[in-house]
Amino acid sequence: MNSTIQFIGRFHILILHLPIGILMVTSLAMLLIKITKGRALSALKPSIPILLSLGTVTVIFASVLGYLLSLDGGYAKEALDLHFWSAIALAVVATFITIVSYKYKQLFDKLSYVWALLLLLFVTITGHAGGNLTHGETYLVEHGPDFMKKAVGMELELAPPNSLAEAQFYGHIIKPILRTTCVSCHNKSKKEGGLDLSTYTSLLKGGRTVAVKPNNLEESELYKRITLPHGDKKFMPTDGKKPLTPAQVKIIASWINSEAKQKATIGSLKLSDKEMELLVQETSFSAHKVIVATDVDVSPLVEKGFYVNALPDGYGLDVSFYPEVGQKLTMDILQSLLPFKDQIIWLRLSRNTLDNQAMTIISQCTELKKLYVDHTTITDITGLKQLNNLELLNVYNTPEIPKNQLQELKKNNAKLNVVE
Amino acid sequence: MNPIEENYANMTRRSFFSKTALGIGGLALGSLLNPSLLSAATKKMGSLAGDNFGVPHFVPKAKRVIHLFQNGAPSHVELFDYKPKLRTWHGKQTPSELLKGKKFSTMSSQSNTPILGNITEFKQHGKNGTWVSDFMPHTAAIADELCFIKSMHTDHVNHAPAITFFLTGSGLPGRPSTGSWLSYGLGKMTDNLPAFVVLTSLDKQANCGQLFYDYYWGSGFLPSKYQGVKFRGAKDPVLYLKDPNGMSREMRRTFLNGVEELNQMNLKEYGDPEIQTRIAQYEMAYQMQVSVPELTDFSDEPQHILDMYGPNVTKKGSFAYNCLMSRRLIERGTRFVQLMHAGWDQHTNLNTQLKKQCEDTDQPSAALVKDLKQRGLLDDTLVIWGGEFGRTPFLQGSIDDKAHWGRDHHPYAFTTWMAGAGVKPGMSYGKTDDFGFNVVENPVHVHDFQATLMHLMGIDHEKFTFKHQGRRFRLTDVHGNVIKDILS
Repeated sequence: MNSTIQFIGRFHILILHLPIGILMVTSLAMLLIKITKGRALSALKPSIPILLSLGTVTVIFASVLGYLLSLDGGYAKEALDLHFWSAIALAVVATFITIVSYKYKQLFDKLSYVWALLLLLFVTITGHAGGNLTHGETYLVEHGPDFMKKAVGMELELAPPNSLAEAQFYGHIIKPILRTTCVSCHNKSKKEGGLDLSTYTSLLKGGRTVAVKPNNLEESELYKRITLPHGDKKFMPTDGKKPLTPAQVKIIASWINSEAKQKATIGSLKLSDKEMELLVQETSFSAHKVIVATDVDVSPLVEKGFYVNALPDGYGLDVSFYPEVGQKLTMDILQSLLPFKDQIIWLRLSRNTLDNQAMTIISQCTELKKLYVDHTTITDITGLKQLNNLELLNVYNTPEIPKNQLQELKKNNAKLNVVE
Repeated sequence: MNPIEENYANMTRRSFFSKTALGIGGLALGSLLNPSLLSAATKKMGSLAGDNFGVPHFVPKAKRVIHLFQNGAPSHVELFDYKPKLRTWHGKQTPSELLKGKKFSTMSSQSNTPILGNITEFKQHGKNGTWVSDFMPHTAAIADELCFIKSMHTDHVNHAPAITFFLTGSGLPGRPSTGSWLSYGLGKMTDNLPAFVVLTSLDKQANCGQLFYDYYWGSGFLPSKYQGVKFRGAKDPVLYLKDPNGMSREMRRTFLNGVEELNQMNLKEYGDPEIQTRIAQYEMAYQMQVSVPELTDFSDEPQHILDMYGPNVTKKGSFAYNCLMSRRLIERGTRFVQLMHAGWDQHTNLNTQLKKQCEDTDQPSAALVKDLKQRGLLDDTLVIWGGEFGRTPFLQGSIDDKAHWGRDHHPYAFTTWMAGAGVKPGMSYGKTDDFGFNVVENPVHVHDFQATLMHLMGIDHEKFTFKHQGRRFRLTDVHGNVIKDILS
C-alpha cells in the first residue's frame, strides 16, 4: 500500500464534515424560505446556488478521499458498500440539483422542498453509514432504550444477578470479559479474521475458523489463540494489547467445557469446587444469596456490645459477643440481632450466660452458617431445625442439650458438622 | 494516619482560628503562595472520616492467631527436616560450593566447618509419613494436623534483626509488629481484654542471653494503642490490678471518668493521638481489673486438660502455662497472641540443651493444637510454630569436644509449622538440599509467609498500607507472595 495514498486518504475524516454542514444548512434554508414564502432568510436566496456548488465540490472531494481511505482495508464489506454507494448517490444528486439551480431557476424554486428533502435524506444516510463504519453499528444506541437496541439486533444487557448461582455464564461472565479485551477488533463492522465476538450467535458462528466448539477446547480456535505463548504471532489479543489474565483464561475454558451455552446459569451447571472458587474470586457476584449493603449500619449491634465484622462481597455479617465477667446476655441484647437476622451468617455466643429463650431469636437467623453456643447452659436446640444453611454447630461443653436432639438435627441436615 | 493529619482532623474550627497565629489571613497567604496546599489538606481530611481500609478484603479463614515464636532459632535439621546424609558426612568438611558467598554469624570458624550428623533420631509419623525427630514425640503424634514449611528463608543472620524482620517485616526496629497491623486493621473483638497480647518464657537455665525487646510487639508508626500488651510471667501477670483499700469500683469509675474528661479537653486542644491512646489504656486497665483475674484463674480447667499441657502448666512464666493462657485469651476475644520462648540458641550445648528445650515446648505446643481442635476453635484459629532462622548443618566448635557441640545461625533454610484455619493439614511444603543447607524447591521467604498470614486473615497485604513520612508502608514492604498451595 502506497503510504502517500494512505496519508491523503485519512484526510477524509477531516473533510467529510464540510459537505455535511454545508448541504444541511443549505437545504434547511431552502425549506425555511419555502415554508415562510420568502419572509424569512430571503436575503440568503441568491446565495443558494453558490452554497450548493460548494457542497457538491466538497462531496466529490470527500468521496475521492474516502475511496483512498477504503483501500486501507479492515472494514466490513457490507457496511463499506453502503457508505460507498450512498456517497456516490449523494454526489450525483447534489450535482444534479446544483445544475437545476443554475439552469432551471423556476423549476428549482417551485420544487425547492423536494430538492431540500432529497439532499437531507442522502446526507443523513451517507453520514450514518460512515459513522457505523468507524464506530460500529451499535455505538450510537449502546446506551439507548431497549427497543432501539433490539431494532439493531443488539443483545440486551442482563440485569445483575442476585447471586453467582443465578448468574448466566455467558451473559454475566464471559461476555464482559470478551467485551473488554476482544470486541474492539472483533465486532460487527471491524471483523478481524471474519470473527465477530460481540454477540453469542456471531461468536458461535465463528470466523474463518471455528472460534468456540462446545466441550472441545482443542478445536476452539479462540481458546488456542489466547493460550499461545505471549510472543507468538498468532497470540490474541495482538499488538501488545493487555492479555487476558490466567484466571480469565481458566474461566473461558470452563465455560467452553460446560457446553458453552448462552443462557445456562452457574447454578445449573456442574462446576468443580476449584472452578466455583475461581468464579467467586473473579466476579463480583455474591457466592451466597444474602445481600448486605456495603454500608449497612451495624451500630445498633455494636452499641449493645456485639463485635461485628461485615464480610466483603455481600457475604454477610460475622457477629460475636464476648461477655464481661458476670455479664448475662439478656433477651434485650439478643433482640437487637433481629433486624439483621437475614444478614448474620456467623454467630458466636460461646461462654455466654444464655437461657432457652435465646434459641427463639437465634432460630430466626435463617442464613446462619456457623453457630457457636459452646460453654453455655442451653437445654433445647429443636429450634435449630429450621436453619437449613447451618454448616457448623459448636456445642462443646454444653452438657444439658439432650443427645437425641443433636442426633435428630444431624439426621435432618447432612452437611452439618457438630463439635461436641 | 500520620500524627500531623490526625492533628488536623482532631482540631476544631474554633481552636484552629484561635491558635493559628496569623489567623485566616495567614492561611489565605499560604494558599496564594501554594494553591494546592488548601485543597490537598481538605481532601485528606475528608477521607479520614470514613477510612476503613476496605478490610477485610475477602472472607477470612482465620479470625485469631497464636504465634508460638521459638526465640533463638531451633535447629531444623535436628527436629523436622530429616537429612540422613549429614550422618554419612559427619566430620567431613562442608562442600565449599555450599559455603561460597554465604554470610554466617561471626561466632563459628569460617575455615573449619565439618558437617555435624544429626544427634536426634527421626521416625515417620501420621498418614503422610512425616519425618519428625524423637525429641518431639507429642508434635509427631499430631503430624497430620500440621503443615510444615521446610523451605523458609530469611534475610538476617543475627537474632534481634531476624526476629524483628519476622515479626515486623524489617530488620531495623520501628515498624509495626504483625499483631499491631492486625489489630489496627481488624479492630478488637472485645473491650474486656487487649486485642494483641504478648507472653514470654525462658528456658529453665535462662542461659541463652536472648532478650525480648519491646519493639518485637511495638506499634511502630501506628497509633500506640495498637502495640502488644505484655503479660508478666510471674505471680501477677498484670501489675496493680487491685484497687487500694478503701477505693470501691464505683469510686474508681468516677475517678476515671474525671480523668477522661481532662484528657478529652487536652485532646481537643492538641489533637495528639497519644492522648487518645492514654484514654483507651485507662479504659482497658479498668476492664482488666475484672477480666484478668478471671482469665488467669485456671481452677475452672478440668484436670485432664491441665494434664494435656504437661507438668509445668501451673507454673507461671513457663511455656506450658503460656500455651494454656493463649487458649484462654483467644476464647475471651483476644485476636493475636504472640508467645515468645527463648533458649534455642545452641551454639555450644546442643547435646545437653536441645533435649531439655524440646521437653519444655513439645508437649504444650501439641496440647494447644489438640485442645483448640476439640473445642472447634482450630477452624478459625491459626497456630504458628517456628523461630527466626535455622541452624547450620555444620558444626560450631570442635568435633572432638562432643560436650560442646553446637550449630550456628543459618538464615538460608529453616522449618516452620502452621496448624488450623485455612491451612492444609498433614502437609509438607518446600524442600531443602541433602544437607538441609539451601532451599531447592518452593522457597518461602519471610515476606511470603507474612503475605500468607495476612491472606488467611482476609487481608490483601498489598492493599493494607499506612502512610508515614511521605510513603505508604506495609508489613511486607514491596515483597511477598501468598503461598496458595498450602491454603485449604
